Amino acid sequence: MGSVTRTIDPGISIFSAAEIRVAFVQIGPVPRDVYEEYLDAFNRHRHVPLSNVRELHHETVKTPFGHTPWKSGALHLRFLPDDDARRRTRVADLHVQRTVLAVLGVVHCPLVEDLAAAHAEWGRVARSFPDALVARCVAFAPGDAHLAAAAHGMRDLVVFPAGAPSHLDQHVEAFMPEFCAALLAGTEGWVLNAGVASVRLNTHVDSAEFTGSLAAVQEGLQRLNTNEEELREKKRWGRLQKTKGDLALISGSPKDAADHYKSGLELSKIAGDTVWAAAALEGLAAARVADALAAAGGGGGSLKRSLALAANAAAAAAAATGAGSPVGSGGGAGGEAAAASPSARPGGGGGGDGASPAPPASPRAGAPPSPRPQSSATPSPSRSPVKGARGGGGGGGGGPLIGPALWEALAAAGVEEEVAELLVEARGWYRRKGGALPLQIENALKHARLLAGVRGARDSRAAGLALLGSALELVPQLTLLEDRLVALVEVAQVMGLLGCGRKRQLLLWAAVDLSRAVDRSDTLALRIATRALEPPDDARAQDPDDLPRRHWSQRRAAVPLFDPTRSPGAAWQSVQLAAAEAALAAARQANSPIEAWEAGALILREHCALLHPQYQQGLLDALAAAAARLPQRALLRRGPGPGPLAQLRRVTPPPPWLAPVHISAGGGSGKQGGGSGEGSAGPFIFNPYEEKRQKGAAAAAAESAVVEWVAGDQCRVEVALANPLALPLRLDAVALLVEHADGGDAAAAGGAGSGAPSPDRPPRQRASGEDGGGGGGGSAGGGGEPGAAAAAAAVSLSPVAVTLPAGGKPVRVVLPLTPLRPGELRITGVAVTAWGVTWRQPLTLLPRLAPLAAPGALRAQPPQPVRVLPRLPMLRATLSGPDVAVVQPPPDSEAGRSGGGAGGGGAGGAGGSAGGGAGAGGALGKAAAVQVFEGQHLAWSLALTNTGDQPVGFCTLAVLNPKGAPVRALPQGGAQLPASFAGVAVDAAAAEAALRAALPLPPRQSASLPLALVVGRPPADSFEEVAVELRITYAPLPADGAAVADAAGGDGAEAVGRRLSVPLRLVIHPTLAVTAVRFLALSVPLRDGRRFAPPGVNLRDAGLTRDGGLYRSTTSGRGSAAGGAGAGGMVRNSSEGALSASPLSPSALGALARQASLAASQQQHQARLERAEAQAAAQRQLWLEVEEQTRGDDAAAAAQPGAPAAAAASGSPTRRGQLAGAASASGAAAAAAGSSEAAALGSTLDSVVEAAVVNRSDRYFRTWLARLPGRPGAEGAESAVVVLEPGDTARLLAPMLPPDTAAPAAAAGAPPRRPPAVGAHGAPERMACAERLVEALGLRWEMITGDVAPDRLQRGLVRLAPVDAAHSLTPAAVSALCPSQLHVRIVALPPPAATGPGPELVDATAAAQALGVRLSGVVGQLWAVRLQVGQPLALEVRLTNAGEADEALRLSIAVADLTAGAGGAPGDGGAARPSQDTGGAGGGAAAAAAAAGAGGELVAGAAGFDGGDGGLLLTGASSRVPLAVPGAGGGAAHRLTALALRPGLYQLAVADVCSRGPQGAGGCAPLYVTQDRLCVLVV
Amino acid sequence: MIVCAAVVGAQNNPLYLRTFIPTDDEAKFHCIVHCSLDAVEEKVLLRRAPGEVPELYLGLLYPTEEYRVYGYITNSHTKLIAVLDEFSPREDLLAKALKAMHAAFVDATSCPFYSFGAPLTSRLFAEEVATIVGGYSQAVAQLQQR
Repeated sequence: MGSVTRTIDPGISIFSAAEIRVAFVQIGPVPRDVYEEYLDAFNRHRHVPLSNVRELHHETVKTPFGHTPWKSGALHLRFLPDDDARRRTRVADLHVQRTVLAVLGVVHCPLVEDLAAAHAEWGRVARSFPDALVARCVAFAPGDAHLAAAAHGMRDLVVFPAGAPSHLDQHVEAFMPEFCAALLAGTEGWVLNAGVASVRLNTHVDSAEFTGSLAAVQEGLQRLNTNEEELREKKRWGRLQKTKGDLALISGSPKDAADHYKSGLELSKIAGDTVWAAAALEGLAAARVADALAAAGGGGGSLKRSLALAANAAAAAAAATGAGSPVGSGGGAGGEAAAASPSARPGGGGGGDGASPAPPASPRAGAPPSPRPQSSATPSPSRSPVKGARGGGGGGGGGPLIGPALWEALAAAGVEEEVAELLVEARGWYRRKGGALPLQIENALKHARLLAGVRGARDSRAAGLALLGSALELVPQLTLLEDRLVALVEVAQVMGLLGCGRKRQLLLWAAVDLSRAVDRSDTLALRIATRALEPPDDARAQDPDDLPRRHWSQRRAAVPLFDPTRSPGAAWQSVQLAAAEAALAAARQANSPIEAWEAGALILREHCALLHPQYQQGLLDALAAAAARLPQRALLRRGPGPGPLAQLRRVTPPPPWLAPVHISAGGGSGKQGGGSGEGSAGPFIFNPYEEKRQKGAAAAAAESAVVEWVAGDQCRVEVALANPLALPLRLDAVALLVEHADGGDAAAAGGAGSGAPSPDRPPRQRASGEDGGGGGGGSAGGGGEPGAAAAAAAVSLSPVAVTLPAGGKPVRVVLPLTPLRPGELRITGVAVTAWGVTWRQPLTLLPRLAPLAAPGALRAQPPQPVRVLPRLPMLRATLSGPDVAVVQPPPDSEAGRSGGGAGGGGAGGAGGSAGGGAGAGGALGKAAAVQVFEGQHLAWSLALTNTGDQPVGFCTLAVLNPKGAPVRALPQGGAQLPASFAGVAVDAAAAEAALRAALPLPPRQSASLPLALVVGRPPADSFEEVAVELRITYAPLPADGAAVADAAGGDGAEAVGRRLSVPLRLVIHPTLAVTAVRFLALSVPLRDGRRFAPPGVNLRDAGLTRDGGLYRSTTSGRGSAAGGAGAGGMVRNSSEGALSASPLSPSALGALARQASLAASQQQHQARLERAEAQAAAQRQLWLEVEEQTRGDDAAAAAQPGAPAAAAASGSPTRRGQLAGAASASGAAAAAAGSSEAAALGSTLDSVVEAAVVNRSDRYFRTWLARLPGRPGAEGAESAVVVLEPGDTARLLAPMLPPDTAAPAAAAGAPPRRPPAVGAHGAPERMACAERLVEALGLRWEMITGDVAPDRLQRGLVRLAPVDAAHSLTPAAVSALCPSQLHVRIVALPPPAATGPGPELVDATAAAQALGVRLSGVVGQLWAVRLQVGQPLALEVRLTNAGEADEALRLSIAVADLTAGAGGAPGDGGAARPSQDTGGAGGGAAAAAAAAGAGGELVAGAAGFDGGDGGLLLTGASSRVPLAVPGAGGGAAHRLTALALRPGLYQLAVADVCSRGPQGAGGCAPLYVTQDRLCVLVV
Repeated sequence: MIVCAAVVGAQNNPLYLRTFIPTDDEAKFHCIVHCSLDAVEEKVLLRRAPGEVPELYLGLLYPTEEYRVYGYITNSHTKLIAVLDEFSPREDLLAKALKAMHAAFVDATSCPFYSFGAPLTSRLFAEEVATIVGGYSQAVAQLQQR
């Protein structure tokens, strides 16, 4: 045992009298941090409820304590590290509890091979504590050999199996009741066996050195007055009772203790044993307090309550410090440094060798002293404030009170006044003796601590300072320097409790000076100097063993810098700097690299503004030197270092394809879609202020939203680092400091996973003996390592190296990290590595304008919470097609997704990291440009590949425009997009179907989706660009196996997935434009109702090309291409009545073919006909593929009663006919007609669509009119195929067949077209007919791009505008598009046999032109029946009724002389004349208005249209002829005769028709009737 | 005699500190003056009754082994601290000296070029304080000679 070193114990309080001191000595080599871990584990169970002990307490003899509170009492142990345990107090006879009553030997088996030898050594150590009642040897982490050795029955050996820290905690918790039971038995036995004979009367307390001369005088006087022997006997009894009281108190029985104290007090008073009487009074006060606590601590809820209060206090302190650390509330003597200080509490750790000039360990103790002084241990960051505060919490149901709960219980019990009186009385008894100064000081300290704890720092300040002032006055009178030192430090500490931090600092300053006189090694000075750097303790948490251990640097760092409200005096930097420099100097003198590092870092961190650059350089050199000497385990510091200041600027959002999205019901984004639906609060629809407010609120919500990461994805955090030093600071590695919700932080991971210079954490065993220094110890405490391991398993960090310039200018650094598993993360700072040392810099808000060193400029930045989501699949989209090849995400971005790799390298540096961040964000908003052409049809393929490691269980595809609205889909069922459609339409239905079939998509699998696009017109407002986004939203399979649809599309369900966007920028180039649509009539000869189909030439070959043909296309050139529609004069809107160009060439009859030149000017409105070469024109053939009319002419004729047999027999099967209008020479008509045979002759008009097309592009196109839908190639062309140069204009002619028969889509099962709307009298509306036309006919094109395979040709379709078509729609076209139910055909019957030559059907085109007849809108020949003057012609009017109802009609036949109007405007026809109605030439449609009775529509432009013209006389009934036409395909006929009187060209047509109603009820209602007119050429 | 005079701002920030004895440990006086702020708080903040008009002169704040610290507080909570190497034989003289120091402080801070809260670097103020300290020493010396 060591010699007596001191009288005043550090950390003395009113509770110290109830504590059992247990020596916690190490047996064999035990690493310092491991030793601290074991000690911490035992400290967590140092308060043991008696209820737990009672079952193990075997009462062999009757207990001397009859009032033991077994249900609510507790035993309180104070574990003394071996250095402190070997120190003996000079008042052991006065206070029995200050002796070591138990010994625990700690054996760390991994470093001890022979357990038996260790056990034997423990035996020797235990014998060095003669007063110990119980001794145990505890072996931790044994191996098999140790277990085998332990099986041989070593006495008092307890083996704790290896396991996690939680296992150790459980083992200790189970061990403590047995240990306490043995202690209780020991104290009981001591009390039972104690006798008055063993009581000494010549103790140190009785010496004159202790009591002083005045006491000796008083004792002599008393001796004279009484019997000396009697006094001695009473003294002995009094002292025995006091000792029994002490033992009863530590045994948890305060009532028994009080009884003994009272007995002893009376005896001592009688005997004049004042010191013992005062001690008994103090014991009585302690017993009163213990009794009150036992009364308040009963019940199972006490521990919970105390824990809750402790947690609240810790949380309040954390909130006060702003760093989430409970250090601010830190009570007690302050961490392990306090444990090492002589001023610390008894169990907190001894002052080591520094407190005593004597050797720290007795040679006979057998146990070598610690190779180094007590090292500082860092607390476990994983230990929550609650857990830390729970340190003393015992197991079992009703635990003792600790922390704030303890003081609240005392305040509630109201014992303070009583206890204070006892203490004051005791102090008075001490003073009676005149001496006993140490006891007076202890008494004052106890009293002051009690006041501070019960009343709080503020309320107890005045009274406490008075007590401390009196104590401080006594300090210089103490004889022992050690006592002075301890008293000085203790007074300083209690002043700190009372809120006098500045006085505390001054007293500690003085203590440092005093310590140099006590300890020449300066270790003691170092400990006190570092104590001066700590913040003051908390009055409500005074016991350091109930708090987590923290290094002083961490406690100081938890206090905000330059905040006078939180750290009083911190603003006085010169004082703080002086204290820090004193600590640094002491650390250098004590040869402690750890403390030197911490002190130097503190100076640079907090006071660099006051330092000269050379001094800063010197400090940096000192840091480097200290780092080189740091032990391996101390290289990882838990506190902050010399810098830099770090501020978290922002969490860099991941690329769009990596960002998680919350998919709500319907596949929409739950988080990104909302927020804009609120209505305006004012009377206006749009309120700019409200809009601005909403935007601000949305931005604030976005800022406050918790950032979400996905496990396995590499994330980036932008941090600003500022170096306040005047010198550049080179940092080898900077990584993020991340805490995981499971506990621990990733600081170790930052160093370990990085490959950075920071060392890996060595195994725990390696720390043995390597923790050097006079008090340092940066290794993790108890639960720190598992916490760090948990965080390391949660996050993979990639440190970067950076060199920070001097001057404090912030440098932006992007720090990457990869979360590995889901949970909650908190970014608390950065882990910095330099000189091989890794430290932690908390987040700080850097000032924007003020300098870094300005007071109040720096504030703590709250940690940034981050939510880590489970792993998600990763899709890669490849859009491929003839014109596009896009891969999203870009292939180079895949490298950014590390997939959980342990961030290698870490040498990116600031620039590299910034570049990486830019690279990640570079793909944003960068859309691939695709060149497309108006009207183009694109067939693309979208391949989705799952590149992640999770299957895709849910996926949707949407095509959106930049505003987020879906792009127009292609109409289903064969419907077409309107001609005015601008932009792009996408057919994603097939893709969605294929996508549904491919789900779930396992990893490394692909799904190919077809995607069809149709390009419309280029939008006029976006520079011919259209932005389209293919948005693929996908999510993994639900973990619980639920249906995928439920995961994302269920009611209220929300799944987390990703969104992949393939942005496209479509540059739409204009191609062709239909500038005008016109309808022409084509006369078709009929024979017996059948179309006459002479062998002709294909109309396509006739080629309405620009170099010839019926209409010559005028090349207007590029410059005039745009104006070609109107200015060219060739094509004019028929609605204007200005179709001036005659389509027919005025060539001689039958001489030449026509080649119309439409180079008319707009001013003249005159067509200039050109005559082409005869030979070439002769070869012009018109080919027209027409559908034979389905009206069933012949069938109707056959059904007509009285119809000619020939007509009936001829039949008229529906078939396509070909008409070759051979432009024969004069007289060739007879051959064409072939009318030599007796047959009914007639003619009908087919409608031909003429589209004027202009090439608005700068490319070459091949184009034609084609049926829709149909083959995209030119094989199905309905018109000539022309090639257009850029700027060229062409006209295309195509027959307009009835859509019902021509549309192949009908046969393909497409839904039937809707019938056109009908207007009055059953006549179809023009617009409806035009819409029907444009649905069936379109302009297809192919781009001529050289040698390109046919399947790779760029093809497209330009729609016709229905409005334009409706404007120029002719009655013939209407008739062709919408045939009526009633049809009239006038045919020329053959004459009776042998009555003469019959009528001939001839080409009357030339004759008409010779006669000056203008036949506008007629293409091809004009067929007419040729008669000689005076020749009669038998006519028959045939009616067919395809309707359901029978019709009773009344019709009139009229003759129009087509030459009559020619004289007025010979040659040109005159634009003013209503000759634009092609019906005037005998067209097909007849919209008769019977009420009007006029055939104006029929023969508009023809004069003298009545029942008989002067040139052609009708005989027979021709006016108002009643006819009954049965329905359902029935027919009727009426015959009459015409006599040719004068040469000319005439036309026979129904002039008037009306319905007489059912069964000829009378009246006349208008009807919609179509007819085939008959032209008669009289020669 | 006055060995150190200091002015401490309302935020307990040091504005001025000057020692009047040869010493190489000015930090010690910084600590002493710094510590006196606790005593000021005790005297002013903790012991002032409601409605009480405080006395500006605080008297003896606390004694150390070597020095005695006296204080004076202005209405704007600026503290004037005087560190003496002995107990002041006549506190009225010391109060007068501190009051004169207060006037000098007001003059110094009335300078339009002075930034409020910044350390006092005015040469005139330093000379004024030295004069006051010298005057106090002379007065005490005369008193002791009597």
